[in-house]
Amino acid sequence: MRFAGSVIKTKAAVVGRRGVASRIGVLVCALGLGIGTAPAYATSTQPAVAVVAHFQQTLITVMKKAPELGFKGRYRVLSPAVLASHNLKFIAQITMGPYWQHLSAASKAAFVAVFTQLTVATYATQFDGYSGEVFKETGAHVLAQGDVLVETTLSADGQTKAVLDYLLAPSGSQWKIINIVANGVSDLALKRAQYTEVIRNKGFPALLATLKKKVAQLSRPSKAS
Amino acid sequence: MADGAPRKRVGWVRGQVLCLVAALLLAGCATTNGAGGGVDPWEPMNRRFAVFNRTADRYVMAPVAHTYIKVMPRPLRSAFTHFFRNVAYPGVIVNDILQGRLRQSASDIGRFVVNSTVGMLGLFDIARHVGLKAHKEDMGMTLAHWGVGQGPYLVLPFVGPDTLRNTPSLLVSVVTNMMYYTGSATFTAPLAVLDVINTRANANASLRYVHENAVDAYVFTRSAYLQHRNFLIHGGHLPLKTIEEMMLPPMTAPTGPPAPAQPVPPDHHHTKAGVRPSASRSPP
Repeated sequence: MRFAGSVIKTKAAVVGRRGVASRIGVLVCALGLGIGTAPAYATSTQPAVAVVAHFQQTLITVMKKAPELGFKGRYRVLSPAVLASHNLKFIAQITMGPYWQHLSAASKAAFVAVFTQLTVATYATQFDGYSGEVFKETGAHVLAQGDVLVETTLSADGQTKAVLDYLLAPSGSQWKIINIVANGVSDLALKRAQYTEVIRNKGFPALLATLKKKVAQLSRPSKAS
Repeated sequence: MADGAPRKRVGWVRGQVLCLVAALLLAGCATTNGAGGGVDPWEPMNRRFAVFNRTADRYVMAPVAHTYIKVMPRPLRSAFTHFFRNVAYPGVIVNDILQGRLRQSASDIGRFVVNSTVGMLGLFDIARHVGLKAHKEDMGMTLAHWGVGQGPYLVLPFVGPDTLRNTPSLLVSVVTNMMYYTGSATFTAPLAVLDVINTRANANASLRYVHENAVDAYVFTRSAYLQHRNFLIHGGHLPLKTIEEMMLPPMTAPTGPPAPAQPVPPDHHHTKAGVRPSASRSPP
């Protein structure tokens, strides 16, 4: 696993000690890991904004054609859009918390595969109709780590239904979504809290089985219309 | 005597609220940053109440709500929702004032007046169309504004997720609700029942989402509730720093006995807690 200088940040540095000492600690930590590359700080929010806008436009298209597409059609259209705009491998890794590094390569691959299916299936289930919804970008910021926050709202009938904040980080030559905060609820934190709890109590195979069951439930004809 | 009864009730409730606030100030100080930083020290009890609530919902509230949705036309349900929000809206105004949000309180007073009159006792949300948008404020948010700590997470029977800090809201929301002052139980009791059913019907989509997507419904609800409350406390705009920190959820080492199927690695306490793995940082 690679660790890059711009993302090395101890929890203490994030949540508490924000002084010079912690910053030096972070620097030492980064140097100690032999990471000398310059951080990829965002210089413009525009590329990240474009990724979010394109994905949301795909969602609107799918919502408008929802009945004729059906669940399978929505899944088929959304799958490439989600893969192109989300860094699902990274998100999957974060949701596993400290357990990730102890999984075998096969387990990691199996988890990423089912996590990807679940993510697309959730989108296909939730965006199953259109009632005049409109996405609107309300702001974009470069964060301290170089990530970009894109703030949007989902409105219908002139009323804001949800505040959706997207966090994007560079992935290869593209910007990709690594977290979505909906009305203050972080998808990443929500999944991670659950997944680590299930692993702690029942083990990784139980989590994998539960996620597969969720995918099957979401794909059932009664839910998938 | 007729005038005295409501005053007595208000006096009693005021006393209870003051007692609760005093207890809360102590409890909040004691528990906010308690040992281990656990937000749910009463989890065993909370889980039992969560199971009770789910069972009660499954066998009583859900069937009633589904029937209600079937028989009650959507416009009527919408009108009831506006009505119940409007009669409870003085609670928002009181908390606006308690938080020193005077401009917002003026807007909310206007909203309440417009909807109570032109909006026919709140059945129609006319205020929205004249730019008086609705706000969400309650006693828990006021206490947070005053610096009171969140305190432990709670699941209350028939109420659902809550925090110790928010418990005074249960009383304050009653005494700031206009229905409390009608003085006639024969009038308010059926309305209160309708309010509960209507609220449950409105929560149908959210509860279905939890049911369909939660891997662990209890943890899902707790995490979502606490995060959303924090969002409301910040007026619907989380500070950038908070959003940034969400990229690094607490990396507390797992506690408790390891699951048989996945033994906790012996060095799990020495994992690079807090280090975010790379999402590939090469420049785009």
